[in-house]
Amino acid sequence: MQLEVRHVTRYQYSGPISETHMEVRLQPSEEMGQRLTAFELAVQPESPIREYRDGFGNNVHYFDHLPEHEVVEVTSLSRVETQVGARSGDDGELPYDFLLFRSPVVEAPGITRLADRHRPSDPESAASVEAALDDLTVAISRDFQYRPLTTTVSTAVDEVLRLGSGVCQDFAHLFIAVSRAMGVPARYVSGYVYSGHGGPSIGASHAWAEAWLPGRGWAGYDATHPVRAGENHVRVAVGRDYRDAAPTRGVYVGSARGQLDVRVEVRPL
Amino acid sequence: MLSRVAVSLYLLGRHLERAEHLARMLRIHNELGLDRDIRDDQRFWSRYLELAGWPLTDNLSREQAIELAIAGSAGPSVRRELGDARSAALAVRPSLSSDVFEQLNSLHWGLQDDSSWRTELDGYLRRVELGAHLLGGLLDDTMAHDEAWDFIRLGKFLERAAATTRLVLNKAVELADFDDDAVDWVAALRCCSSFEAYQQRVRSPIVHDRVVGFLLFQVMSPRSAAFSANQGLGSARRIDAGREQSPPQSALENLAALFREADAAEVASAPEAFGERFAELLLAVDSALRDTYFLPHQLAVSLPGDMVVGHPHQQQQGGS
Repeated sequence: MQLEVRHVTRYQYSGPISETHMEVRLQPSEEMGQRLTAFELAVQPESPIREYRDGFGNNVHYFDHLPEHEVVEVTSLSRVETQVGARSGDDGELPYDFLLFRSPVVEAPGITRLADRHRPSDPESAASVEAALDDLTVAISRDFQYRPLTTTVSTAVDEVLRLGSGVCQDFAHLFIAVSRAMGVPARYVSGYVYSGHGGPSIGASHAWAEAWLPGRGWAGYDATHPVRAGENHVRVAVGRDYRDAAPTRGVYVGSARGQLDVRVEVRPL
Repeated sequence: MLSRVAVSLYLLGRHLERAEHLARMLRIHNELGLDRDIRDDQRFWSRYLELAGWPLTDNLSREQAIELAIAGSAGPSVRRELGDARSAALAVRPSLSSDVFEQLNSLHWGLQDDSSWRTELDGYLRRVELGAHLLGGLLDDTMAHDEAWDFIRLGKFLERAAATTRLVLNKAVELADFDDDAVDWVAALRCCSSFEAYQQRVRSPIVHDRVVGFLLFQVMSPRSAAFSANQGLGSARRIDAGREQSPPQSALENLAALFREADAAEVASAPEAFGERFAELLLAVDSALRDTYFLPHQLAVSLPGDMVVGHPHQQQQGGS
């Protein structure tokens, strides 16, 4: 499937700020059966953009703007082709690093209980792990409500368990926590999902998880919908959790407060 | 004066003050560390680095912490501060006296390739401290006391006010539950070159709130935060040369008033609240300096470890 994604992130400040330093992970990856055919990135105020590849293989762009400004706007336009070629990639990564917990993916009693309930019968068999993760995907979607504004970017999974609700970012964290508690390496994926049934779909960026299947490699699980990540999913960045893969992050100097406005439009080509 | 020149002079003052403070703090901590329980070593050195303005790191050995504090490039370190001070001085060479520039240049190069700190840490750090004192004297005695001089002092004293306040509040939080804390408070006084001055003026044993009061509010002590805020205000007034109340003057007056009106016992019992108020006022000073003197600046005015704010984060929530 060919998709075009336009992602606009706009920060409006209540007064002048200065020394903005920002790094963004907005360029779709070219792994796991995905091809990037075009990518453009523009920032306001205009600043030179540089890039590097981080330790997870993500393409990171960064820029800074020192003089005073009241608005920062980052716009990316990507065209990708999904599900071309082999999806799983075993390129010598160390998947067992993705078994470690750190906040917000914490090890809580509720996580251990969920892990006990969904544990694969044979952890060495890809089919058995796959089935367990499918069950987990469905269970999260069934038992937790998708409810925006109940959580924030830094909400940890124990809080999501207590609330019984959250957004896709929280469900991805929850999936990762339970998967890790079962001994299955799992990582966070930041990206986009197309759900427009022919027309454009408008909303925010999406998140799901990938788990490591023995002998097969990484496979994507989207507990929000609940499906395996497929041709409607555009992968952008991976990491241990949201903090590694956040679309934009940065700092500034000043006492003004910021307001964030995000608009993502995904349309088929 | 060009805003670019003002920024460089201000940064020169800040970097020099910070290099000296880092060196002295490291020397005192190194002495203090000799008496520590070896099991407490890692926490002790992590706390030192946090005080020096580095992000909090776990599992740091004494050797690693010292290497970062002397030669680290990702956070405030003695060599980095001196290197940055020299770069700032190069940018405003005509505004400085030759004596000042030559001393800074030789101090920088003399310490840059010198690895004697690995075996003779105390001597190395004393050279930094004395070199910085010599520069302070040269700045005062060989330069005209004009606008350029006042911008250097503005940087120096704001850096000192921030460093002293951070040290005192950090220690107040750390030692809140300890009765037997005299050794640590003596170390805090020595980190601010104020132990002897304290002994002369305060004729009582070393007690928590007296030390806090001395380091923050004693206007006679050149190392106190109150003194530093007053000096910064004096420089801003001279820079404005009789013009009506400017935003930097107002912001610095608010900062000076904080130290004039606060109560030592209150700060000692609730250091966090005081710290928040101080950070707020310092940020206001920073904004006022940028708006009034440094605009349009093309150079970063903030230093590593300064208070910076995170841009708001976007939550990934698409596709319900």
